[in-house]
Amino acid sequence: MDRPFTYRSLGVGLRLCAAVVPAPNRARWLEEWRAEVWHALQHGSRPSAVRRALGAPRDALWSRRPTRLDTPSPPGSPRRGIDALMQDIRYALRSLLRRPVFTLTAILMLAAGIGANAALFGAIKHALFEPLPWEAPERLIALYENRPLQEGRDRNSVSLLDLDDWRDRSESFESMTAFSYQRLAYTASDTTPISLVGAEVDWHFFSTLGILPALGRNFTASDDEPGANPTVILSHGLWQELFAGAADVVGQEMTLNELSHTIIGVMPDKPVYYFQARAWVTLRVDRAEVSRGNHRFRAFGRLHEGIGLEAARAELQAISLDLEEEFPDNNTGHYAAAHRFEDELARNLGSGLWIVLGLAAVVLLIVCANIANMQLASALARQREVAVRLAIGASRRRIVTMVLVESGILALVSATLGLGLARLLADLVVPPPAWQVGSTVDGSVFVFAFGLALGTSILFGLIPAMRLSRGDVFDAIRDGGRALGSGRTRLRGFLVATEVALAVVLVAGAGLLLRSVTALGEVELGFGEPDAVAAQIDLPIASYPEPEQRAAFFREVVDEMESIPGVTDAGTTDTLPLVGSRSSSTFRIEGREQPDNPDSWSTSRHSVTPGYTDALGIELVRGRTLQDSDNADSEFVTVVNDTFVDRFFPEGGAIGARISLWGDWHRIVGVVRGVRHDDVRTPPEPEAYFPAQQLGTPTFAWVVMRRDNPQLDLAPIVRAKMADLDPTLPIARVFVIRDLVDQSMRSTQRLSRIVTAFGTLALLIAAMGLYGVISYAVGQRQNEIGLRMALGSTARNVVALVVTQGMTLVGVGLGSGIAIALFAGPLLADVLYGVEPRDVVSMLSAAGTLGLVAFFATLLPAVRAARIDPAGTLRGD
Amino acid sequence: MSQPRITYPGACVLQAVARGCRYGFDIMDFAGLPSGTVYPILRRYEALGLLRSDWEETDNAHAKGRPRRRNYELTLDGEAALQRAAERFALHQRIFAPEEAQG
Repeated sequence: MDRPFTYRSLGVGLRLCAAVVPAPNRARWLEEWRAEVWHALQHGSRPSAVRRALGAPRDALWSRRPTRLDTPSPPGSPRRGIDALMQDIRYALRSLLRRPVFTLTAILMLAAGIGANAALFGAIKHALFEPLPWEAPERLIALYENRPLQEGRDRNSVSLLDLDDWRDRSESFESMTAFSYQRLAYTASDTTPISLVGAEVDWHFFSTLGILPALGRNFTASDDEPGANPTVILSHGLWQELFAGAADVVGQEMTLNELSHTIIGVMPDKPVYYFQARAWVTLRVDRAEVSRGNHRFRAFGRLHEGIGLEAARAELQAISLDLEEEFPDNNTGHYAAAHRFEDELARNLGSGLWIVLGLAAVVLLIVCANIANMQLASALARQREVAVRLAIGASRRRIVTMVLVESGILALVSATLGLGLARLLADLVVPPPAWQVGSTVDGSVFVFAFGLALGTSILFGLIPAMRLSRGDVFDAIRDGGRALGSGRTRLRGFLVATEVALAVVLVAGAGLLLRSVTALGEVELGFGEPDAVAAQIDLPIASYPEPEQRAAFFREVVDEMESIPGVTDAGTTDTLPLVGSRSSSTFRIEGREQPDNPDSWSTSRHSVTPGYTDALGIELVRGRTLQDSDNADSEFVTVVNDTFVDRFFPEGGAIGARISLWGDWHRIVGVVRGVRHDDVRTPPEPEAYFPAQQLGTPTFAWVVMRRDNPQLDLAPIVRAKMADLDPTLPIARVFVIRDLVDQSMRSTQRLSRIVTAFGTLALLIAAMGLYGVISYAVGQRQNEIGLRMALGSTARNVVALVVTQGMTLVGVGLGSGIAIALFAGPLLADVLYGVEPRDVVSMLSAAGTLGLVAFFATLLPAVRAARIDPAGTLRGD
Repeated sequence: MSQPRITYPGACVLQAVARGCRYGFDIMDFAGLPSGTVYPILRRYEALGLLRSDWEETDNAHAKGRPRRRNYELTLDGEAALQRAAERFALHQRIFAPEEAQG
């Protein structure tokens, strides 16, 4: 007999379970179970004893529950609420799992909505609201020169001498600093030359930012004196890259732009400024040799603690007025402008991000409306169950909680999924700015996503919950759940109309942006050769101190490039369209009074070699282009663009007139088409092209080459030629002009892609909602339709009946959608190009697209309704 | 003191004890519920004062060559709770199974 064996084995199991039981009760717990098992074995079958013993683990676990759980909670006590909530959660989980299609659809839609919103929130928050990574960033002020008389010129570079005066005379600022970006050519005996993005800074730079070298020392006043021994501070990245993070790098020498620099420090591994330079050198400028009119520096300052921006602005304005009086030639109409770093950032990011966030919120609203709709549909199936619960004493509040808990679970699962999605989207939506480290999906984004989930779950759960809990118990039980039908259909109709309306808004927005992209694509850029190739040349002043040397070198470069088979024209310029920099000068016209405000006569100036306009395909309108014969010894000439002529010679007579920038008179010999220099959106400004040899050849240039075959890859050839010409020059950046055009259009394109994706999503969701409602309504009216058909209605009549019902909803939605779109359109104005924010074509095509999709969404259930077998339906009733 | 909430299985357990089932496994058999359900209910109701438990005399059990058993009985509160549960679950039964209620 093996019962003793069974008893012993069960005893071992019971002892194991007893380990879980709290110690004071353990012995008695074990004794009771053993006695019962012993009895069961004695008086019953072995399997039944074993089966009973299987409850022991559960009992053991229960015995661990704190005693307070075992005391009854009075109604309304929090404990009781929690018990009820746990029950609701279990119930909701079961109920969701029973409806996998609904659950999955709802979760996927919500996850997409929450994910998109969370990603955008993260991007915006990180970009705009994260404290800047420097000490007391609220005291950092960007400084510019404002020229109120020149439209659109409120953020100009500053002159070094002006900045010195601002610094000396101001009491609001703790310090001010000037800097400019500078390409640094690093050469060493054992490597090929490397071109680095560096910055020339005055010695106040790092102390003003409030960030000091991690290794070595900061710049001092003596490092910045003219003729001082050149010093350099390295970025953390460059230190790692070139010196493998060697600790003894401080004190070593490195050659930058042909000059030996002493490394005095290494910056810590964090953002040093918005624009990450890789090395910083001092200006070492002799103030006596600098003109006050030379505006080439960026600047910022740090306010004293407790000083407000407005006070500082007032002080700077007073100083500017003094300077205007002291230096009327240079400073008339030039004033200091001060803006907080934070505000500058927000300004640079533009309104695109906010627009996308707004649109993402609209998508989320549509998703909510649709899920509420689906919940309402499934509420029908649960009406009887809810009625029973109400009958046995459940309160209305309890039923509402039950539905809300279900929505809450959906929302939480979706938020978790959505956060994963947000992580993927984060990088696509906005590439992180250069100064930013780490991911944009952080703790606050989690909080945001879950807060959003909670909010949305209330939004889409409350309507069905209220609706369901109002159910009349006995009606529901009696007629098996058709009692609430009609009112609910109206509510669902309203939700669908809302979805349609919001979808119209999104689709119309997408339409506007698509039209903008098309318009941008058709813009006259002013040059006919977007396939031209440009290479950058940066001559170290130490090796090419004289303009003649540089001119000779550039001439050689042009000759070499033109000798490449497939290159038809080549020329150099100091400013290339769409790279984001150009220099402007005021000028005089021979024989005319200067205007009261000299700044109103201002033009972009380009120092070019003769082949440039041909290489870029800039069309000649009148006169001639620059020639090789226009050199330092011949008459000084210039070629201007048509915008220049329209503005300064509206009566004609431009050709042959003479203008002067700094003394030398240049005769206008030709007029060319205006080129869009700043970006694709901005129309051409007045421009003047001067022969490089007559203007003093700069150290910096782009050589532009026109190819007869766009497939020809010039980059390796150009690099080889450059290395032949001067092996110490860093490797040149070579690119196709078309890339610049694409880049300039990229933000609009990206925005239009995002909005189109949102619009498509909205369209699909709205169509789904419409289909659901119409199918449901058809189900509800089955008897009526059956009767109609029995009385002679044709299938066609039935289809018309159902489609009319659906399209009435759609009509209401479309009408309100267009109204909203007309109202909201101007919000997009900033990002649109060449299309009115209230563009009728976009609005109507949005409405048309939605109408068409909606028509098919109603047609399907309508056709199904027409197939109803009248006899069968009537019998069933 | 407030009235504890009696679940349907709880009512069955109280019913079983009221009908004279004194030991855990007997209650299980009567109520038709598994041990993992019955025992936690017994513990809770004992803590709530609806049931009380006692142990058999040790000598008595050992004389018969078996371990001593724990037995349960209703308290006055337990009887009252059973009364309330019976009323409540009668309505319950009427809703779910009208035929039985009528019969």
